Amino acid sequence: MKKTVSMFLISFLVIMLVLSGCSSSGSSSSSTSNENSKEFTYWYPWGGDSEKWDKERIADYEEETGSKVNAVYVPDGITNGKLLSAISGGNPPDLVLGDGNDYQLAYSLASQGALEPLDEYLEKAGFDEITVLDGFRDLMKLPDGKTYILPQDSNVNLLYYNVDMFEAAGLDPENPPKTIEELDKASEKLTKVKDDGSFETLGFIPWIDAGEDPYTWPWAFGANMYDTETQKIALNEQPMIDAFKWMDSYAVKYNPEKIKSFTSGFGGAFSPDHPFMTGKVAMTVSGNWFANALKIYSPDTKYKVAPIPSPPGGRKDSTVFGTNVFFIPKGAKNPQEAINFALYGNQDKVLADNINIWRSISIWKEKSDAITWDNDHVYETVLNVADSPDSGHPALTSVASEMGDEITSIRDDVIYNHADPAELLQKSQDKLQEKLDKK
Amino acid sequence: MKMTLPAEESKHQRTILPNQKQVRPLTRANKYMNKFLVYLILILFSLAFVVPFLWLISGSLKDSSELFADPPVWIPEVLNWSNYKEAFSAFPFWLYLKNTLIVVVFTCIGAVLSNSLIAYGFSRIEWKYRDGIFIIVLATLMLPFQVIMIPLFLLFKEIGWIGSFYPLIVPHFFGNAFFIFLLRQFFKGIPKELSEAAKMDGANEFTVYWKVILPLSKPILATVVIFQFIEAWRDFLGPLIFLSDNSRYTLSLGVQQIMSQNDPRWGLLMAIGVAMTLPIIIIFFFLQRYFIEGITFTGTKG
Repeated sequence: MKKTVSMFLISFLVIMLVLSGCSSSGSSSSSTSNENSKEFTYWYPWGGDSEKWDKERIADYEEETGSKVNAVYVPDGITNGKLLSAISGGNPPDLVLGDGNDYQLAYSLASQGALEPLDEYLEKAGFDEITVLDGFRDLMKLPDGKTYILPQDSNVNLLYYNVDMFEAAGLDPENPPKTIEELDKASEKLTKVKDDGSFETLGFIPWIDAGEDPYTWPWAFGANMYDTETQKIALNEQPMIDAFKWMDSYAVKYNPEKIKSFTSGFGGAFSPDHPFMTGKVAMTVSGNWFANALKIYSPDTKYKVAPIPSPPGGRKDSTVFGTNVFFIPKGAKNPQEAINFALYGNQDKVLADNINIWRSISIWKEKSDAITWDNDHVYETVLNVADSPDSGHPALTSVASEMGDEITSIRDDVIYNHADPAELLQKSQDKLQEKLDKK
Repeated sequence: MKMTLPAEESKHQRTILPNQKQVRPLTRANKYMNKFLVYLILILFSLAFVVPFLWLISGSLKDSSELFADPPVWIPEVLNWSNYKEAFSAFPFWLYLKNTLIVVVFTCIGAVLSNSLIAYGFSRIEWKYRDGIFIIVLATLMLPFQVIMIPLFLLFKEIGWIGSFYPLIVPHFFGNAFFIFLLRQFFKGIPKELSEAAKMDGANEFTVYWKVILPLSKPILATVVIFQFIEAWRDFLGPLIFLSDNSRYTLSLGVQQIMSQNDPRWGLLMAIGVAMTLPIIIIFFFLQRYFIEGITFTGTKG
């Protein structure tokens, strides 16, 4: 018997021993770097070609400066809890690059005191905020005037419209809709209903593609949603109500269930089944990157772009930015090195490879020669929209994701049940405010 | 085989009365019909499970235009093996595979050793408060990983395990409520007399566990291995939270790593999907016989 027990114990020990062979001899987390070293840890969120590009950028930087970047691929770094665990464990990376959908979370981390103020390091690195496009200021600073976020680059949303379908419907492709009223009129002309009542084509569906994003239309209609200074949530506002009522007008006209069955077979933006590519929808709101998706999956679609239409009193020629952001968690060991790299990485000439494919934008007012979109109609519109003082980052609050969910659920209630938006908005506003006050 | 068949038939004949003999061909036809129906239903059901996998395989061999062709193309015109080549080089596939296998093998060993020992205590030894404590153990099933994630991280950070494979492996040497439940049910079904006989011969509890119960429990242990294998193989959050260096990442993170910021690269994703699924299918085929037995024995569904 004793023999069996000792056999059991020995095998357990052997396993543990082998395991220790598998364990790291020295983990490459930030704990290894210290203030004077030129080494730092950097979390990046993307794989694929984006990763390849980032690794090239890192290699160039290391060669130019003699720094050592411990780059770690962390998918959805902010949302999945890894960052939170690392910060609470006192083991955060020195620099995090957040995905364009997550900047609100980054901002809310800043407002909760989880991020390091960057001003001191930015100043040392020779950064001047005058050189940054106005639309990014709101995101970079908290109301206390300190800078917590440094954007890497950004994406904008545009109205894509099908030139052939415009011409066939007797519309002028050189003169796309600029106001909501014009958009509605064009949409009506472009919509074709079959004899059995089903759709052949729809001119426009407000709630697909970027229109599905909860903030796109409220922003265009002029809603503020949140005041960063007073920390008050303001959902029950006239522009917001107008936006929902406008969406409901499409639901009343075209029956959202019917639209749903019409759109159910639609492919995503990176498939040739996308309704804009198949010609089932004549206009849609989508990101600058969609132009490249069109080039890959539907090169024959003749299209043009225009700024997102807005009603009188709304935000003219504006967009909600999809900004990729750099930030430094509290407790980082080597923030200066991290900022030096971030400022190297968000220059036009370093971003050029990306920009020249996806038509994304850098945050700088001055554009470099490395960008080759000269005389490109889409890129010109992208720049115009990005330059608009009305473009920005809505809902910079720690309850941004809840707010997004609330807005989406109200929208669904409005378009499917024709509910009264004002009442629902007030309820959500109170609920979110309560949640925010507790945080 | 040939020897037993006629004997069986004659045995069968003896029970049939002479005037019923003419009906025999019909009942046989009925029997075949029944069998046919059963098989048909089974085939239809299995198709529902097989088709997505076949689609994955066919998709992994297509270029992007064929992938979204309407009507769908089942067999690609040109077999596009480059998806595999590209997918395997899109991230360090073999390194991640090695890491995954280390985690999988050791967690499986841990799961089998620890859970069977614990389940033995809960099923074949009488002690005070046993069932009450068992319920507490079961209650841990209700804790989602997200809830214990940060406390675990802090704990492992204190011990200095963050960045190593320890946080992914060592907990499996301390039991898992689901496996304990599964094994306990199985052990309870083994006749008490076997243990008693062994004890009469001078065996103590550990010898009974090691020499009597474990050898009888191969089917359920195989089930535990399969479940644990699948769990460790596809675990995403664990490796993501506890590892801090790309060179230690596992395959489930690698799959995500194929996707660019703007382009999901479907063809490569499908190729890696096939590569990720194959080992699970292979291990299932190897342990299939035991697996089904283990599941039916305990009345637990997988």
